[in-house]
Amino acid sequence: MPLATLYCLRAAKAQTDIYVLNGKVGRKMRLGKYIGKRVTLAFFTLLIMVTIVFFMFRVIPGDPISMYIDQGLDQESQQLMMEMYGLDKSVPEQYAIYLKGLFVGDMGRSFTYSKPVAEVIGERFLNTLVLTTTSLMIAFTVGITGGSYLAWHRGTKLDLFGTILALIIRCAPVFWTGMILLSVFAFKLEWLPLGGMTTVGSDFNSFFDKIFSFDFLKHLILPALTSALYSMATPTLLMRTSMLEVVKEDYVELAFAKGLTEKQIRRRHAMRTALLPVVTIFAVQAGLAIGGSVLVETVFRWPGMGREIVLAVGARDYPMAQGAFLFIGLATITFNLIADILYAYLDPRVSLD
Amino acid sequence: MKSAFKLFAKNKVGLIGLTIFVSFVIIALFANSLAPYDPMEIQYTAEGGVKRLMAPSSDHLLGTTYMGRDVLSQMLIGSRVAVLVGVISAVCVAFIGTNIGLISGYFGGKVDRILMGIVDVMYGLPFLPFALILVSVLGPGIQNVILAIVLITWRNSSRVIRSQALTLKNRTFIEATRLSGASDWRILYRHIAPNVVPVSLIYVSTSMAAAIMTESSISFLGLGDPMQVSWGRILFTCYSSQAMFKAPWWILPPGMAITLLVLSGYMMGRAFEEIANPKLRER
Amino acid sequence: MKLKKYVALLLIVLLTVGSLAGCSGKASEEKTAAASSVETTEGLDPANKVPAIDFWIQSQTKDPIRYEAGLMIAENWKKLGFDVNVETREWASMSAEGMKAHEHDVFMVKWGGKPERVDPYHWLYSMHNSIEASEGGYNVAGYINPEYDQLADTFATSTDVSERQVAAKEMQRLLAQDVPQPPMFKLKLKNAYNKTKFENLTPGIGLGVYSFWNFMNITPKTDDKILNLGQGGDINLLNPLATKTGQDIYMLKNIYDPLVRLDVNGEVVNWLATEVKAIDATTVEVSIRDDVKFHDGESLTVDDVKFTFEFAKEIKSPTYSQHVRNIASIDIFDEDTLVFKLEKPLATFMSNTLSQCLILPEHIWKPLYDEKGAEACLTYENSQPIGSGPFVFDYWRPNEEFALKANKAHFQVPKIEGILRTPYPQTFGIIQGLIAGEVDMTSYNMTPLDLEEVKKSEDVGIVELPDMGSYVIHYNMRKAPFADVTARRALTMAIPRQAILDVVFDGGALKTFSLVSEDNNFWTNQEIEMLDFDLEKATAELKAAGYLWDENGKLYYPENFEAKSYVQ
Repeated sequence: MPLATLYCLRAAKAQTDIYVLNGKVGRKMRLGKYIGKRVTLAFFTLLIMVTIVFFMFRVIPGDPISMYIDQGLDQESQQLMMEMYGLDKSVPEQYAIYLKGLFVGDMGRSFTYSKPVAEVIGERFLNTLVLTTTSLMIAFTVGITGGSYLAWHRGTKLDLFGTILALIIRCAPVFWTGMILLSVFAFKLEWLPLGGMTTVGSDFNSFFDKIFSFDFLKHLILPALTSALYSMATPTLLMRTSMLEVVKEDYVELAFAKGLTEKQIRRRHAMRTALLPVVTIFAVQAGLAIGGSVLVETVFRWPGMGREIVLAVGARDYPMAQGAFLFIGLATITFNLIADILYAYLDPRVSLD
Repeated sequence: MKSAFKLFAKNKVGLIGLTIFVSFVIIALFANSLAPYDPMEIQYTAEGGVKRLMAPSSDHLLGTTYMGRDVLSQMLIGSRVAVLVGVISAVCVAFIGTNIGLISGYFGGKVDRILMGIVDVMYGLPFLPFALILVSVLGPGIQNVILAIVLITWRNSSRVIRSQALTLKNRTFIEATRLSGASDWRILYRHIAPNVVPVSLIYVSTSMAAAIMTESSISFLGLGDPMQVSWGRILFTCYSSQAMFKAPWWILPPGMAITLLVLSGYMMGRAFEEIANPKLRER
Repeated sequence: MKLKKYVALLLIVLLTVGSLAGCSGKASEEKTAAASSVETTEGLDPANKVPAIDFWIQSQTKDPIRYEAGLMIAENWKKLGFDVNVETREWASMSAEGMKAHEHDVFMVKWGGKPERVDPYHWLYSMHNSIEASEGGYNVAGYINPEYDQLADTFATSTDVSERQVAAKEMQRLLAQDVPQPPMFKLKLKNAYNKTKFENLTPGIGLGVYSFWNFMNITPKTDDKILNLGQGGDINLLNPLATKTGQDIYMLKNIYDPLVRLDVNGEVVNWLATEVKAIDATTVEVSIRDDVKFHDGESLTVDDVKFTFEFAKEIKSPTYSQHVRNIASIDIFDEDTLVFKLEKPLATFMSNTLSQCLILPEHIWKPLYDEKGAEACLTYENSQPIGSGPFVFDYWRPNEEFALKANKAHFQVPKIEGILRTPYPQTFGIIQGLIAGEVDMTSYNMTPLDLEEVKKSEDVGIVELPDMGSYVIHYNMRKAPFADVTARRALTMAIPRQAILDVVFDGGALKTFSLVSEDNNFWTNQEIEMLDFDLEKATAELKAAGYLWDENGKLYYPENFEAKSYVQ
């Protein structure tokens, strides 16, 4: 996404919403009202999304039962199985049952695993979360330092090289990067495993033991790196642009006049202000990363939510797919919400009046 | 507008992007004549064996796949899908997004609230999972892939166009036109719209880039049109055959092509950005 | 000026779209009848044109073999003069619209060759008798032949095995000439195992190394007596009443016991039962052992047996339903004997019903049913399954490991100490596991690429066995052109079997012409008509039946054509 326009977008969005609010109360009150409004909207968005997905599934040709006919499910057994899954009821009836369940936190039972969807998804979601968090951490750390470095050395060959490199990586399909890294590091050099989350047959006492084990980290490196490479470009370029703008400000000139070193100025003054837009982008990127995790998880067979949704759709496991979609959507909406609020709150240029 | 063209011509980045894009378009247009073999045809050796996973040679400049198909031909024919999907999606997205933005911004009130409400809901939809489900529902044809892309991408441009329209709406020359008795629609399309075009163009380019990326992602997940050769599909076949480790000639070209084409979209977008926003020109 | 800009943009777009959409690719050249001996006729009435065929093939995700084979078959059908539209379908839609709703034109299925299908009840009766032609039935092609139905009834109900054999052979002869849904290929299954660590492999028919007998007989050569099994995909559900996946069922058959089992050749052997006697066509007396205990120490008695069948029927278990619905009543005769009364005579009662129904402990399931009802029983996770089988459930860590221990108190004790089943997300991982010695055995079928890989390790041995199932092509006789037997025969003869074997299977399969595999010695009939690849013969038969070709080589019906659904 073009970066300066990213500014415009966020500004435009914030302006949109503030514009709609009444003009008389103070900033803090406005903010409160704004947040409240956004949260309500988020809730309705979620509801609409769940409904759309629910009905879309009932429209896809194919059902979870006929897939097993060739394994030996005759006519009567098929009928019994449909009854077992509640698929013999009318669609509106199924919808009502589903919604009722949602309000108490019951997302139904997976057709494939026969376990409550919430249980399976909870596990998968944690896996995706670990992967996404790690990759975003890497992406933003490298991005912020890289971006500010490039900005400081603006106009040099290094700057040009860095910017172009960032752009190219951004344009490379993330699954392709993954395939290449896999071929080189896992297959040719055999340094790292071929995929999955842990070595097959390994045993851990708890989730936390697992994720801090060396084995897990070995499996995490490649997918996290792949994902990070892809997410890295935006913060790098954004930071660079942002820094360039800040550097022109008067107070930086003043700092120079005062005799501070370049490094000090860069770190103490410039970076802090330049960080503002990057911080808001973090939330947006997080939302996008969760939605896009499908690809990395497929290449590396990482048992996360993205991969689960692909499998569930293929198997017509409605409750599972609906649940996975709900979760991903919830995460996306939440992050967007955080981004909006952060922006409205932090950016002094956005006037709430 | 003439000045806009001049600015574009001066913009190095934009020109490079345009050159790359046009080269791909030309390749796509002449792909049929350029491709040495039928991309779906299995190639046999003189003894009757299948030419599996052969390294690049004079017969097959980019080697062959596991099923014995010529990679170069697949790459060339695949460019057609990429360009087609890219251009059509881009135009549709920009068209829809711009119009909704204009109408929403200019007319305001209830219309604005409803339209922006819809945009808000669309923002909450996670991109790829939604495309996945949509393609599953509608079937794997290429038109469905385009539909899925368009449905999800138009939300980006509408907001920005809307705020542009808002700003322009209050300019004095618009007031003047209104006073002279021009109808709302006339004002909108004759006076405001043209000024929004540079921003629109940004979205044409970037949507194209995003569309190509999305199409290859969908194909990689195995949901693309199976009767069409596309770069994403080549990578999908490569990955599923488990032979990707052994054939760099198979795995590298499609990814590179996608990268280049997407890059060209972003480069052109950047050029349009600088035209639309003079502040950026100093970089 | 802005007008010029718009026009320019529009022009570019239109040009691009137009040329891309309008250009027909090299692939879509019209392939007219290649058979040069075809004489064309002019002035044919378009109303008589043979309708186009919508050929559904699997997507590459589901099965690249069927995808590629489908493309090759379609090419050759076009050479005969048929119009073919190839469409890929996801398995979910194909099974719903084809297997269930029977709305297809033609599609392919890979049928599994399970041991319970050694008695060809499924292949010959279920798939071809007219009753099963309705929605959801196995007679996907819609084959209705009164002569066949008569034979089928004899086959299904007679208690005289030689009478059944005669009927079976005749049925195969009819199917081979009418080809409603002919088989094309059967795999040469190659399973890998660690020959340094294990010996005495006893692969069973239809299941290979995953056979129950293999688990019982495989003998460890070293101190490591746990058999480490590597499979793609994990266990889903351990509830015998509700499970539907093969992988689950095979593990459950280790934990639970049925009354009889099918041995490595598919023959019935007594297991929990000591004697099975057919009193008359609808009465069967079964005597069971008195020394069997469940894993929790409770004895397995006739009460458990009676309970299992009645309970499954009561709660409408989908897995048991096709077996228990024919049971009218079960009476306990004495403390070791039961009498089953059937609604209708069923020749496969012993070989299928009694061998497939796993006996459940009444003392565990009845309280569950009394407390929570039928639905709870069907959705019960049964995470600590208690059976009576030669393996006891140890633990299951989903997506990581599934472990069984040998049951030393069983009347037949396995040679190994336990089974450890590990699910691999990638089949390549299984291969690596074998080479590294992490995995001892897998029932995953090796492809030529895999075989090359495993050569790296001296410990890996390959066992080869024929698949009892086959790749079948299902025509839909309810629609034209498949309603006519000549058309079907011609289409069958246009399948380039040898070419597909060479290119797609790379030597890993064989041609097959009967659904009853030629390795199934007792039941197979190899003296049948074999319609192998022969475009000329196909064309000749079409011509003899009156079909005509136009100038483009497309097929037409003659005036007042009457389709014949089978050879008379």
